[in-house]
Amino acid sequence: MFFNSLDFAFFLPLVFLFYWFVCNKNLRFQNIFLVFVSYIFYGWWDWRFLSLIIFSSLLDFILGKKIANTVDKNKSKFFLYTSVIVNLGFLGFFKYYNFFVQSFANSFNFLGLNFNVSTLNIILPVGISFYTFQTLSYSIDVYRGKIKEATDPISFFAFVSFFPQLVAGPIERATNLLPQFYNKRVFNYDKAVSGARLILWGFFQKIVIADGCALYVNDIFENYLLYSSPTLIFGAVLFAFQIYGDFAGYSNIAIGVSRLFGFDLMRNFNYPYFSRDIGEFWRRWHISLSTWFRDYLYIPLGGSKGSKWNKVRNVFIIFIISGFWHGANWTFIVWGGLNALFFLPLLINNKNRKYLNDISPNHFLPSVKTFFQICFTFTLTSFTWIFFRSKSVLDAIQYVKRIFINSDYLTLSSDRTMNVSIKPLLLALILFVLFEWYNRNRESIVGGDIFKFSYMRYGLYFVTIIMIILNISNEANGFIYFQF
Amino acid sequence: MKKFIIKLIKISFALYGVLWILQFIIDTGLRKSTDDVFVSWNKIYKGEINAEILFLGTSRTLKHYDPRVFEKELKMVSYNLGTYGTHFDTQFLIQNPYFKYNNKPKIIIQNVDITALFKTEELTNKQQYFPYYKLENYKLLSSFDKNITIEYLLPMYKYRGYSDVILNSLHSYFGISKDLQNIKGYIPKDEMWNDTFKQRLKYLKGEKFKYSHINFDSRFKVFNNLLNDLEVNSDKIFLIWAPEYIGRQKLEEEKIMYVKERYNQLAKNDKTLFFLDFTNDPMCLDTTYFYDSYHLNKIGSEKFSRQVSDSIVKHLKLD
Repeated sequence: MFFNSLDFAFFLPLVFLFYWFVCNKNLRFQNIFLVFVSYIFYGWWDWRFLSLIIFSSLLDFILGKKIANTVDKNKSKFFLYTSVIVNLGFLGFFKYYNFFVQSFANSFNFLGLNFNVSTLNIILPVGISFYTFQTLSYSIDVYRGKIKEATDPISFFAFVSFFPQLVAGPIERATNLLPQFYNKRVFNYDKAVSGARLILWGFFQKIVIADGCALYVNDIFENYLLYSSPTLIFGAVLFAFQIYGDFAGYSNIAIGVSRLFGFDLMRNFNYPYFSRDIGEFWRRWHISLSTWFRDYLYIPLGGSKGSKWNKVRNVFIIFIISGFWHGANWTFIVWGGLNALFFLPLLINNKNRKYLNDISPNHFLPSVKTFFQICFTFTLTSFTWIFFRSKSVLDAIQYVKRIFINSDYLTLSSDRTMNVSIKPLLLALILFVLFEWYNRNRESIVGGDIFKFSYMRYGLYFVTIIMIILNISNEANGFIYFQF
Repeated sequence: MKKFIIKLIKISFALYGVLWILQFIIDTGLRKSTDDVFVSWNKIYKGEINAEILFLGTSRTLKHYDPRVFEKELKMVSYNLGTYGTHFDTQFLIQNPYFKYNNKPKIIIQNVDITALFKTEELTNKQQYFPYYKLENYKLLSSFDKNITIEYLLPMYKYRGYSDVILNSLHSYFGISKDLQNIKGYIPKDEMWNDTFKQRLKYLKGEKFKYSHINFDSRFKVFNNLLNDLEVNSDKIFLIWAPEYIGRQKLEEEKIMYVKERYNQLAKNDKTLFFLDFTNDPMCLDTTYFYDSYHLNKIGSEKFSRQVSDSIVKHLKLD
């Protein structure tokens, strides 16, 4: 079930009312109900894959107990490895089997050896990368003693399958989310209001920004051979906004919906396109994944400690795996590699944590230096997104090549073949950037001073809703991160 | 909890009101619009057309019949109500309000061919219907588009993705209009033969048009209903098969014969109905008169209009 579908428009109010009016007396009832509706939410897409979530939940619930209750450290480690291997095994099979088999065959063919292999027709279960990482974090944290093992299976099953963030995150840590299932939720007006605001903003990001950009991006990337340099640059910039609007939109809706049910999820985006260098970008983009890799892979590998060679190795490992996590395609690996390459100079010069402070805290406008830093970082990330969006690495290289060699024969305006007006989208993008800039140093996009005045607040709500209505497409457009 | 729900309900009501007001403003603007898409619709609902000769049909009607020629030759007020991308089934959308709000025409010229018989899969140029989403055409509109119901219920929803239409509406409040190409509904195309037919042939790779997916019996039932409605509203009806480029005819000659015969049979059994076939006219051999294989250009349509008006004069005298 997509958040931006008519099904969800009926599902959410029904679940919300039942949850607060019928299940509000009893914690157990609240959790059972959440598991039930989460399975409906997931099963709406394909009920067969519910078995995977149930199995994964059951396995980690049992192994979590074993890990915690085993005195022998080796045995405990064995149970942890079992959890890791089984979870990653599922992920590997469903997501990467065909990729490895095909790459293996290609490398033999490249050497002139004819190697025929058959791939399997595997459907990728929606959200498998997200819930696998979430359950893994539980097993690892239990092993590390950061969290006590779950004793109530219902709470644990609810934690794994919690529908707002089940299919595209934020990837929650057991230490943050699981304990919230141990206490009965009591309705909190302020939390619900902030949740509703986040949902509204999330829909704006998804429907107005991401889907609006997608119209142009899809055409430009599908037919990049027909387009001139300015259009290709424009396509890359629009994709940067599309993927941000799409994913941050999903995250905000997920966080907002969770608040309606009394839960607090972690923040997933922190105005990443105002970052002053790549290091800062990665502290502000897909925070739940970056910190997951930091805590469970980068630091265990040694992090930024040790020799220079170790640092370089760790950075490349972390970025390439992060790229690979997104999908079984070389494009994602190259995308990860490029990010590592851009990050490396900062790490080597010990400048990767230079910008931990607010952005232009005392001024509305940035300084000239900050402005150029932001533009430069945005250019670098937009460049890497070309690889992320292209069908193959070869397509991405051709795309980049055409940007540099095809600069003089057509202009952006005469280049457009689609009969869709770009002006409303450009206006929406300008408003979007300004609103984000205005809130850049706030914890929540919907918590600014602007909300203190009711006329401004309601004006903003209505304008946002009208813009959303005017941009809804007939068929719900899927979220990009669903495929990961 | 109660407070939250009450607030949500209050906001929803207020929003609903605001959306209705906005929609009313945009609808009203479009009802004033003189843009090609809306001008005929606005005249229909204001009862300003009252044509004595009315042309109905698809884009082939729109491009082929010049009302000025008929007015000159026949001394009768003429209007062209041809619309882009319609078929016989969607023609009711325009002819129903026409007959409701305007005087009955003396003569109806209904352009016929094969493609007009096709079933409408989706509404083309959907924005043309926006200013007149009324209860009276809800049933018909919703039979072509599953989104119509929600568009009727949720104000402004119908304008999604149509920012240019909203702008058009606002322009009409300030008297800003585009250069009108529309001449009493007729929109001539002053262009020479293009290469779309060549591309079509390339795409077909020596194959002919396949109409195996069309159930002609059921499609003629729709046409008969349409015809019954036309006969109630006019004394004389001319079914006219306008010229098609010969190359295209060769791609569908068997079906043309079959469909033509069915139109012919209908006309034979009805004294008020005439069937005029121009598919054998010498114009069909000459690309000078066409801009594509299915549509006459300005030169072609002017010549064709004179031919049709001459034929009508003859038929009326004989009658």
